[in-house]
Amino acid sequence: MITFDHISKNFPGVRALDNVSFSVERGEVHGLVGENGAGKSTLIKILSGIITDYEGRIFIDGQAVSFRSPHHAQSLGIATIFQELTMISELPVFENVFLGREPVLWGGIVDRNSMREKSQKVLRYLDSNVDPDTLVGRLSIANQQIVEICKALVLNAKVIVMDEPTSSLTEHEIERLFSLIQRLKDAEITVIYVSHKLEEIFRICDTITVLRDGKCIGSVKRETSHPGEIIRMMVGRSMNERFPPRERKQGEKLLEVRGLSRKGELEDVSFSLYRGEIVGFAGLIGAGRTELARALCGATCPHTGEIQVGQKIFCGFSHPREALQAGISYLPEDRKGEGLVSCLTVRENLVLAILREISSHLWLNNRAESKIVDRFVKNLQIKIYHPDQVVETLSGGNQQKVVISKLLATQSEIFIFDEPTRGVDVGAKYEIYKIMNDLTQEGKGLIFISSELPEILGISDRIYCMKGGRLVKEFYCEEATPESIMYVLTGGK
Amino acid sequence: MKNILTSQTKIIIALIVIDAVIMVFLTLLSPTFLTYGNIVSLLTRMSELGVLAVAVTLTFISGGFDLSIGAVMAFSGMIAGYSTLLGLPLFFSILFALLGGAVIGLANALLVVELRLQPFVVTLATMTMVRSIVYGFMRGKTITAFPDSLLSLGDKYVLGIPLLFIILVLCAILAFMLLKKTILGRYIFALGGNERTAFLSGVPVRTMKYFVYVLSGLLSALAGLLLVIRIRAAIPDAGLNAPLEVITAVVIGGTSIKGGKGSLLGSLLGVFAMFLLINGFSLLGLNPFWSVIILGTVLIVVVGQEGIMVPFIALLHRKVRS
Repeated sequence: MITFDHISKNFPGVRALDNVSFSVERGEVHGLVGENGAGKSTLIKILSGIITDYEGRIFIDGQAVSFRSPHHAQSLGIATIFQELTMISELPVFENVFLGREPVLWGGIVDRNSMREKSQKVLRYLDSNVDPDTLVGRLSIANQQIVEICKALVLNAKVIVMDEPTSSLTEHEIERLFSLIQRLKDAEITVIYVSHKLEEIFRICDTITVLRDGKCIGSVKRETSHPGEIIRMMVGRSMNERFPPRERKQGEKLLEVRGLSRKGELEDVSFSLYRGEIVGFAGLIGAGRTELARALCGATCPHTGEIQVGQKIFCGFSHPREALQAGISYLPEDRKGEGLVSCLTVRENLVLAILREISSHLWLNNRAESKIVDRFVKNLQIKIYHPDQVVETLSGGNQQKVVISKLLATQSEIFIFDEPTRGVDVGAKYEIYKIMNDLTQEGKGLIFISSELPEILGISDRIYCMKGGRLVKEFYCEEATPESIMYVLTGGK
Repeated sequence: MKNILTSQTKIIIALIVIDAVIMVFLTLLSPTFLTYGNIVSLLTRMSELGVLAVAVTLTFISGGFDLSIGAVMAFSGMIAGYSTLLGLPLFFSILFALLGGAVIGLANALLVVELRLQPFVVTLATMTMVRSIVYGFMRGKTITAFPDSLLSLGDKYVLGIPLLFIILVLCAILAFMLLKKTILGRYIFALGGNERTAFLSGVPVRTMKYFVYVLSGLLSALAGLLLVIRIRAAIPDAGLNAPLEVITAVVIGGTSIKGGKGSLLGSLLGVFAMFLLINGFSLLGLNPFWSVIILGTVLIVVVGQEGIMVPFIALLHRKVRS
C-alpha cells in the first residue's frame, strides 16, 4: 500500500530522519512508536504534505509519489488527523467537512444542501449522533475527532493517519474510537496509528514499526511480539562515550518542595534536591514537568504547598525576580520563545538577568558587562566573532550556551534545566552535559528535565517519574533501566 | 558585509543620503531654500513632531503602541490655556499641562497592563476620548491669552539655532541616554524583543510598561506646549494628523513596530525628510499634500526592500531546481 524508501530529512543541526524504510499493508492498523524526538512527527509531516523537501521516495500502490502540499496529499487519499485538531471552530460541522473542496452549483454557488446531506450520511455510518449544523467549537474533542474522520471518509481517503489520538480522550471515548478504527479496518481503510502508549498499540495495531533517533529500528507483527521487546527497541542503545564521566558526591540539602499543587497542572508534588546532585525528571509530554519548573522559577504561583531553599521557606514566588533572588534560575525548554531575546546581542542577552547587580544605580556598567561576557564566552567556548553580534545569527548550540551563561551569571544555587539539549548537535550536547557536571562539582544542585530517557539515565543521580502532574516513582540511578522507567511512564505500575 | 552593516545602519545611511539628495535638489531648484530664514523655520516647525517621534520610538521599541499622542498634544495645550485664563502663574500652567499628559499615559498603561488589552485598541479609544474632551471644552475656539514670557520662547535663539529645536535635541539626547546607557533602556529593548524571556529573566515587565506609556504621555504634552509657543495659541485641532505622520517617519527611520529594534537618530532623520519634502513642495509651488506619496514610496522601498525581493528569490530557486 504505502512504502517508505530511504526517507531522510535534516533540520539545522539535527538529522530528524535517517534512511527510514518500511511498508504499510492495505487495510491494516499500523502502529508507529518511538520516544519524543524519534522522528515520528517529521515522518507524519512528510506523509501529509507539510514537509515537501526530503530525501528518498514514497510509493503508494507501487507508484512513486511526491506530495506538493497538504491539499495534494489529501487528493492522493491520505488524510491526517493531528493531535492539535485543525478545524475552524466558528464554522458548522458540514462546512468543515468540505472545507476547501466545497461542491458548487452553477455560477459558483456552494451547494450547502448536498454538503449537509453527505456529512449526515457519513456521520451516521460512523455511528455518531453529531448534528452537521453544530458549530465545531461546541463539540467535545472526541466528537471533533469523529468529524475529522468523517472528513477523511468524504475525501475518499485510503489512508488515515492519527497522531496521538487518545491524548485528550476519556476511557469511554477511547473505547468508541477503537471500535471506529475497527470499522475503518473492515472497510479496507489503512490506519497509521502514532502513539507512545503501548497498551493501546498492542490492543489495536496489526503491525508495529519502531523509530529511534530518526532511524527505523524495525517492524514487528503484534502476534509475535510483546511490550518488552518494543520498549527495548525504543530505548536500547549504547550509552558509553555519550556522557562525560561523573563523580558523585552528595552534600547538604538545598531545596525541599512539599505538597506543591496547582489546579490542573500539579498535584501534591514533594521532593528534595541536595548539593552536588543532578536530579532527573522523566515523563511524557504533558506530564507536568515544565509546569513544575515554572512554579519553582516564579513564572507561575502554586496554589498550595511550600518551597524551602536552604533555611528560607516560601509559598511560591510571584515574579521570576524573587526566585532568582532566592537562588533558583530556570533554563526554559523553548529557547527562542523564552530563553533569548533574538533581536538583541550576545552581550545584552547574557547579562539580562544580572543587570541590577552589575550596574551602578540606573547606569549600565559596560566594563563589568564585557568582563562577564568575555569570561563566559571563553569558559563555555561560545563561538562568536563579537560580543555585540545579534544572537539570532548563532547556531542552536551556541545560542543555548548563551542562555546557559545567562543563568550561570546569576550565581544561583539551584538550576532547573528544561530540555537543555533540544535542537543542538551531538558535540554541543556533550559540552552541555559537561557544564552540568561542573556545576555540581561546585556544589550546586541541578534539576534536569528531559524527554530523552538515555540522557536522563546517563547523567542523573536520582530520577523522578512524573505522570499527570504527580510524582509517581523515584529511582536511584543504579536501579533505573530504560525499560523500567518506560514501563512506569507508559502506564504500568 | 551583511553582518557588519545591520539593517538599522543601512536604513540610517539611506536616510542621510535621501535627506542630502533632497537638499541638493532643493538648493538647485529654489533660491530661497538654502537661506537662513527658511532653514530656521523648517527646524522650528519640526520640533513638535520631532518630540512626538521620540515618544513613539520609545513605545515602539518597548513593543507598545500609542495613538493618543496627537490628542494629548491638544489636551496639554488646552490645560495650559485654561490655567492661564484662571490666572495661574506660568510655572503651574506648564506643570499642569505636563501632568495632564502623564495622567493619560498612566490611563493607557493601566488598561494595557491590568486589563491586558491591545495597546492599539486602548490608545485608539483614549485618543478619541481625549480629543472629544478637548472639543467639548473648547467648542472650536482657540485660546490665545498666553503670557509673553511663554510666547517669547519661540523667538529665542541660541547660537542662531531656534530654542524650540534645541528643546527637541535635548529630548532626543536624554532619550538616547535612557535607551543606551541605563538599565531602563536595556529593559525596554528586552521587553519589546521578547516579553516572555524578559519576564523569566527577572525584568519588571509591568513597571516598564507603565514607565513607557507615562513617558510617552509626558513627551506628547511637551510637544503640545511647543506647538502653543510656535503658533501662539492653543487650538482644538492640534496634532490631528500627528499619529500617522509621526508613525510613518519613525517606521521609515528603521524602528520596528514589533518591538526590540529601533533608533532615535533614524526617527529624527525620518521626520526631517518629511519636513524637507513638504517644505520643498511648497517652495516649488506644488501641493504639499503630494509629498506624502513620495514618503510612502520611500517607506515601502526602504523598509520593504527584502520583502519585495522574496518573490523574485523564490522564482530564481524554482528555476534553478527544475
